[in-house]
Amino acid sequence: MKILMIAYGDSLTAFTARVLRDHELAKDVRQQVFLEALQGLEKFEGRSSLWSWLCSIAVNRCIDARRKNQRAGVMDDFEVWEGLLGQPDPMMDDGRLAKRRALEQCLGKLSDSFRSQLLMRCFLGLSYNEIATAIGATPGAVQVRLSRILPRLRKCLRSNGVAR
Amino acid sequence: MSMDNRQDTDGDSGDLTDFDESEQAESAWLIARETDATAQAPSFETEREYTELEDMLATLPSGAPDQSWHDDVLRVAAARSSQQLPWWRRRAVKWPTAGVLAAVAAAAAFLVLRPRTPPELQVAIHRNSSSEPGVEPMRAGLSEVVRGDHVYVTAIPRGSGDLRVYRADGMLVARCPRGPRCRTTGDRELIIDAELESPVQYFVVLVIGMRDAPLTWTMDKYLEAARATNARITIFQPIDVH
Repeated sequence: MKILMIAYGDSLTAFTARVLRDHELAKDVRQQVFLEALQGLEKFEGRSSLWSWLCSIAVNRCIDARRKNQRAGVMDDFEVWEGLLGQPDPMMDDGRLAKRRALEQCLGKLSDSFRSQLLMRCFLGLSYNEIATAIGATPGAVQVRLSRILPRLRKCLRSNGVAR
Repeated sequence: MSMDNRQDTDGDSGDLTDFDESEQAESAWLIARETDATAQAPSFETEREYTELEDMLATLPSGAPDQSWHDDVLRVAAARSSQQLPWWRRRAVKWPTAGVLAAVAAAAAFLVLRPRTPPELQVAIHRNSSSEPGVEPMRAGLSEVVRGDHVYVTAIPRGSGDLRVYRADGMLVARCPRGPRCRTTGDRELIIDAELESPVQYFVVLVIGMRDAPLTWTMDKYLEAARATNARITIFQPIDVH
């Protein structure tokens, strides 16, 4: 279990924090994910990769956490994000830093569900099939939805003046 | 296995209605490129911006590595495990401490984890690279590579990747996508099949988060630029060609 936590803990924390926009809630979810994984590891059937299985648990526990705790995420302050999820690379130029800030803000404007699906694909690297299994949809529906989320995100970035 | 398989409740619209024409065109292209790497983007600028957007999403920071919570999880797990036992077993059995539990679970996790996680970068050496259909290439070990062998690299990058093979003198041998000796498939798989023509060292490099670096750059210059842009770099062990 420790190997799993070392290998996947930080990525899953960043994922749940970005989905829930609440770092304390995200830490609770992280603990639930790994406790559930520990209990379920013996029964893990290997029909999916271990990584996608953990992501699936994480996204479902995020849904539970949001239902129990309806308060809106308060993590739109980029400086708070930087404190929790890492200071920007000192080599990063001002333009790239502005883009990253705008991206975090635009991600915050998406619904939890859309944000989680986009991050599962682009940040966690899951396939359409794996995302579909996790959220109970068809791979085609996930693909179509993501093909609509990305243009919306790009439009948001443009309205923030960072995309040319 | 705990997989809720909840029904997706967003449907296909959610707050993604009222698409304008350009968004519709971009959406159609994003779908098309999944199965056709040559699908035409609405414009070069659009393609460039999406590449950049996906790079940024793939390389969002995860924060500084934090292991302070690991022991808490193991403690809670051990406590739960203990509460599920009858009282006489709880008192008599002294070995289920968090440390032992962690070691056993770690061994199990390692066994489960190792074969089932597809690696992002795979490298094989093919002794004969017959292009005849149905003829399987003969594989060779990395310690016995000779001139004329082929390096066969597959990468499934998480995010938009740039896969390259360099010679030790810095010269670019192959690049994928959009380069010599490159093949792409659906679902973002990049494949390079390149002949190792000289008795020198070769390097396989996968960079996530930096695109459009000039083909003329040497490996040192390329890696330096990748580091400067905060890209994620994976370098396979050097391949010595005899």
